[in-house]
Amino acid sequence: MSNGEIGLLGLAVLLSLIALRIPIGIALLGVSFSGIWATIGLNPALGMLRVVPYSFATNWELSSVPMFLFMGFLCYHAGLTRGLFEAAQVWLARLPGGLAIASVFGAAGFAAVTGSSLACAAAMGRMAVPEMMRARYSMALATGTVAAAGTIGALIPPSILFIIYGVIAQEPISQLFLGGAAVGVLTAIAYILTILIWTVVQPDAAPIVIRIYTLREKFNALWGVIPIFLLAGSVFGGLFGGIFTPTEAGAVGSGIAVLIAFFKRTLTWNTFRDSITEAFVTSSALFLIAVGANLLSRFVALSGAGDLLSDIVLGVTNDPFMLMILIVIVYLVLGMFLDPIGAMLITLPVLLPIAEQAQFNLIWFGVIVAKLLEIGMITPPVGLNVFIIKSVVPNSITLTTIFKGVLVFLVADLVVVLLIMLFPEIVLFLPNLMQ
Amino acid sequence: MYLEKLLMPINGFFAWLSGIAVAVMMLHVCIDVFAKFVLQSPIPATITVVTYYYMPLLTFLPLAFVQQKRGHISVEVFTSMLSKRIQHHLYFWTILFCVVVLALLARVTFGEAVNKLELGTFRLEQNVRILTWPGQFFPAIGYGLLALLMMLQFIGYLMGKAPIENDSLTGEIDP
Repeated sequence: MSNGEIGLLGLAVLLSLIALRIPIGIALLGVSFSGIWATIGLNPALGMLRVVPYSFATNWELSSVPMFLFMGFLCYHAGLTRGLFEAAQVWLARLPGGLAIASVFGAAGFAAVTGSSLACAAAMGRMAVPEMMRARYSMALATGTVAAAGTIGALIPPSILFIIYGVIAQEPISQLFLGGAAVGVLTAIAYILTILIWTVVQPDAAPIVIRIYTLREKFNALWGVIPIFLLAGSVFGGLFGGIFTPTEAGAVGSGIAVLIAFFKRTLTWNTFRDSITEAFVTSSALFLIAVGANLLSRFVALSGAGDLLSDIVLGVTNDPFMLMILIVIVYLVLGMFLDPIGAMLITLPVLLPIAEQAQFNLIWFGVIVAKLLEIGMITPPVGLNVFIIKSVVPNSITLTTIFKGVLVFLVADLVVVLLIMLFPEIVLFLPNLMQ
Repeated sequence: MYLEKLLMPINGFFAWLSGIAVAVMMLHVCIDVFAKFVLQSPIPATITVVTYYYMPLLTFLPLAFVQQKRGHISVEVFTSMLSKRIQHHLYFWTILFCVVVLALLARVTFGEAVNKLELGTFRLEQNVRILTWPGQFFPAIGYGLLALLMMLQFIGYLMGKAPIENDSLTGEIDP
């Protein structure tokens, strides 16, 4: 058996083990080690196993992950983002579908303090769905909106997906963040347009709330937004101004979030403990996979399976646009079954070399990959955002109803993907400015 | 949840340590930022302490705790098509594969840690000398404990002490 064939066999075994419900990280470690052993011998394979876990964990840029996770979880548990939805609700009350549009605004604002799509969806689901039920919105519209809007959480920085991608592809994280911000905003606009079109086609899906707010009420509502602006402003000002490294931005952001929660009197011992626990549990689970993925990329390179696959793929099509369509299809299919970080870490060792050979801009490529993975959060059968919404709304709302609502937003998502494929400047404009 | 209960105290202790690492890391970096920009004199060796102590600690030590909380990411969509009984047996036999991989990892990372201990490895940052070998033991401890936990889960299954669970896919997501 040639080395390239060993590589391809290894990838097939890997997918089978993952399908058997073996934790993704352990499957990656086991297969990559055996593969490297078969390709270049036992001693070099043991040598890699010896040094990779520790050297990977001691990466300065990765240390921003637990910090941003903590900041996001704290904002979620301490309810720091409540004011965002409430203000948007007051200001947008008279628009058709105003409450749904307000939840997109709320999600986009929450996204600026969290990197988690699930937390973003859950927070909006808890706050906005009861309001929309009271206003007799169609439940498909109400729940579809919050499930889809949650995906903005991982696009607008801070975003864990971009930190991991940046470390693996060796691209600057702050530029990925800027590219992601553009796509996050574009996604929010697309969702708002979707809601407006929905309410025009089916006016009774979102009855207009007849409540007039006074100017005083409107300005009072803005007070609730200030803490989040302060937090996001200091994190991004420092990060994009080149003052903070990502880790410093995350730590300072977490510190400010603790202070805000303290002064708002929502900082309880349970809130603090839960946020800390979720931060290290998520980091630990994530790094188990990331270490495995690091070993997999060595195996793919050593066995030559990477070259073999890119020859096959580039043999099918030389046209960059067609190649990108292929990659889009791969991620849409994977996204149906895998969680985003797992899917990204399994595929990048194989797809990054192909993207490099096709001379794609790797910032643009990373942003598209993140957008596609987030679409996977709302596609059936495994749409984690849909499941989390299901768990925070009344039992009478079925999974089918939520998926029906989400379907409409998927159309908007595909338009967004097409736009950023056709006009890479949308993604690259801000990162280029920074350079 | 039978024999593995034996490990709960140590998992709980490591979870506490990891939690403290997150909190202290945040404070440490915040104070460093303040000292750097306001007092013009950063705390020496912050980067080294963050990357060689806090990070390996909170990455590796909670691995078994995460397993106890069923927090390791796996794909359930294909096995969920099988009957609950088959899923149950499959789960415990695949655990054996995990034990082998993790035990090997623990063994080799431990060897590496002992090497580094004997060499007394350190880093110099702004003329401050910081030992780096202690953090090398965290991967060995974390992988080893996870291997042990899974081994105990498997033994519990062989002894018939692992009831078939009725967990659904949608029930247990926590953001």
